Amino acid sequence: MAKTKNTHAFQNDIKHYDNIRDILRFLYMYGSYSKEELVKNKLAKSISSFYDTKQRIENYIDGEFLQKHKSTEKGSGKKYRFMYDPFICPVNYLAETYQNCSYVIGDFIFYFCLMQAFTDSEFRQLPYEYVNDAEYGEIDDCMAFNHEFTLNELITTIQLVFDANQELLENCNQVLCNDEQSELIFTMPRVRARINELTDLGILIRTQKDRYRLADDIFQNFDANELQDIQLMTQYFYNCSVITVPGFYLSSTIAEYSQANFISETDAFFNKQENPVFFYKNHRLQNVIDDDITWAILDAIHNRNVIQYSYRNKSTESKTFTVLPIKVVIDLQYGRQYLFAYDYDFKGFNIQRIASISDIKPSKAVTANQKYEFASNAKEYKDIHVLYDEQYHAHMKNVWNIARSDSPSTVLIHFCFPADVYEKNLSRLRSTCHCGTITELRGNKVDYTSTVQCESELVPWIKSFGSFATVDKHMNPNLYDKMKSDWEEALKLYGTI
Amino acid sequence: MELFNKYKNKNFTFITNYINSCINDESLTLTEDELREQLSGASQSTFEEFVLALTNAYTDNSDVNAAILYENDQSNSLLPLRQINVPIRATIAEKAWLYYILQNSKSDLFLSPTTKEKLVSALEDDFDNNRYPIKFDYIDIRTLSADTKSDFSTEYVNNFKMIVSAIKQHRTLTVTNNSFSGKIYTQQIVPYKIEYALQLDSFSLSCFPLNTKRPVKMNLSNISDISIGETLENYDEYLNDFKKQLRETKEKCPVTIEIQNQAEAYDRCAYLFSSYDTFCYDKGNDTLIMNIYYYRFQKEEIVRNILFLGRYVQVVAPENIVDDVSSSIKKAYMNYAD
Repeated sequence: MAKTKNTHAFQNDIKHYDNIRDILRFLYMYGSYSKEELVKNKLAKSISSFYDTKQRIENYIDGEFLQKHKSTEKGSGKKYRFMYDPFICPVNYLAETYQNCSYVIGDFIFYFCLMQAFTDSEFRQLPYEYVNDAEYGEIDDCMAFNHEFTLNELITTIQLVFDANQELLENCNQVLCNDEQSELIFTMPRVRARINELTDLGILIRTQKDRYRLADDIFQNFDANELQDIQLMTQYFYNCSVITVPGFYLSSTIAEYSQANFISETDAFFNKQENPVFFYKNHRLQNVIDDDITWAILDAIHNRNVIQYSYRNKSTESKTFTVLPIKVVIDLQYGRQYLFAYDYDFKGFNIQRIASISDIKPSKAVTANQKYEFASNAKEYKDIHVLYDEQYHAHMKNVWNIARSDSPSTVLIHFCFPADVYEKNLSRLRSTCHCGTITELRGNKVDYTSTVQCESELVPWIKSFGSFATVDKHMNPNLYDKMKSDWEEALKLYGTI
Repeated sequence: MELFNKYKNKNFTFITNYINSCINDESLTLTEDELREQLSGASQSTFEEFVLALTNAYTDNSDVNAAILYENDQSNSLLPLRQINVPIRATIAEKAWLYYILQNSKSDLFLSPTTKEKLVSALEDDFDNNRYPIKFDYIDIRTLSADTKSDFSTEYVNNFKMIVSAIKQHRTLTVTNNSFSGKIYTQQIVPYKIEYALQLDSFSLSCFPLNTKRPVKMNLSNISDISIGETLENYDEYLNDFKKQLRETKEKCPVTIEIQNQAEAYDRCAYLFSSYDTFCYDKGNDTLIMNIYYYRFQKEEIVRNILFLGRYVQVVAPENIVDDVSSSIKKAYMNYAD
């Protein structure tokens, strides 16, 4: 058995999610592709880095959901695809790829020495009681949950914890302890960096300039049954809400909390996703791949920050944008996510796809005076988010789904449903029309009218009703002609024209 | 905070659970080999350096042993050196997200008013509450329906909770359902699961009526009366039968479509069918082939999606779907041929 570090070993975990984002999305959406095809599509820099990425994805995702198969075409190797079936796998397995951020051993030791230094001051646990040695009972190495500590105090405490652990390990298992290690691991710069990370995460809170304490336990007043209800609610929502990963993390946290506080029958130490009560129709998993970007955007909106990012347009070229994010927009038709923002170079508002955004960071390129240059009265707003909202609604007025244009029009569409499916189709019309007015007429006829910014955006929706829908020729001649030519082209495909 | 961060690595979860479980119940401990196997698995998914440090295997002073676990001589199992539970705390992302979903009226379907109030209160009193960035005002979900949803009635909430209990406890339900055709049925059923349709924002109960033994779906809004019955001793038999029938409705022959690489057709197609079991490959000539494996009851939706996608998408198999689509297109074209 190797007893020293092997720096050439394959590293399963990754530092930045960008390393697997594109290839994961490509495999999920478009699979199946061989390694040569993925390199050709610039999703892997080389065949060897492809193998690394492929091995990672195989490790992150249960083999049941990532399938390999041999292609029937000559000369191509194995191909990969993700499977999705709402009955067989009602969980979002792509969310599990977020549990693989890399760390060093020092991070691990620090975290557990820190967290195991906290104990309930009313029900004080004695860490080394099992040793039956009075010396270990006297070590003053615990902090109450609400104790506010300085960094110096913390360093002393966790060094005591680590030294005691090492000494005990030597006594119990004859593993030689290294007296200098705690000095090396718990230096002020390293401790400060990790405390800052944990404070940023919210596990610790900074109460004053140099004082910290453990965050409050939000679940302390709940019993096991209430926690079960909260867990079921969390599982339901993270599979269908706008952003998945925080809910996925929360589900894991609740499971850990239940395991710690209410002795449960499970002996599973990794959190396994479950969905015992629900399954989801049209559950599109791919947006989870962009959750860290969506989160960063929401954070920027909340803090009114300007950001910069790379945007990959249709021709796969990347361009840098500097924007003030205003709103995250979710399209339920295709399941895409968008960012509505003010673009400082274009000097106007843009709506861009979140799936094409990467490498997002705060920007200092814009001065305080420039920041709200799109609104001369910005200073009058106590809450700038009200201004954001007003700008958004002004630009999105009469937008049917997402598309904006300068030439709004009123559309009129005539529907005629056969009697035996009238109710069903009317219900579908009502539940998919976005906006507008529906008027039931005689003879199983229904009229739909709406004022929209971009009438051509309705084309796919009108087509989905097949022969039941016809655009009014006089009201919307352009739309009428477009529908006619589209149906004509479609007919040619089937050779029936 | 970064959403993708090291403290959420699954190994941190594993060791937290391991320490807490062992302190609560020593019978749950593992030997070193068992621990290695669980961490590394068949896929060698945990880096070796970490496993060595965790099992205190380093003898060279240049590397550090974690000194978190020790091996008990008598049982050969690994126990925590420090017998203090690791406290569990939710991060800001988790708390922000929880606060956001609690403002959705669907949270009333899961929590009692007392529980909800306590939870909202705990989050509002949270020190970091002003850092929560997930708010309704920052997100616009372009809903498909023009109707504004009203809050759930007390009856709906009670029905929902009863169905959830029945599913969890494997109990039967007696349900009165007003179907689309206007008929009212009362029947005893075995519930399977609740289906949530994201695009329509509606719940349906997928179940097995005892007298027909064929899977049936009922919209929860159409259920006017419901009562819970006994626990089914042979629930597993029903479940297996249900799954078998479901498997039999999955068509062996997929719908095959050809997509031309024009007007973002690849992209739109991939997004639209991303919730289906699909299999794509490049045909060459700037054309993508997509095979869609579907359940019989999804056929109508697939035909609608193909029409939705327009002239750069052509269905080539099976014959009955090609006929359906081409005849729909022909009839639709006739509406414009004047």
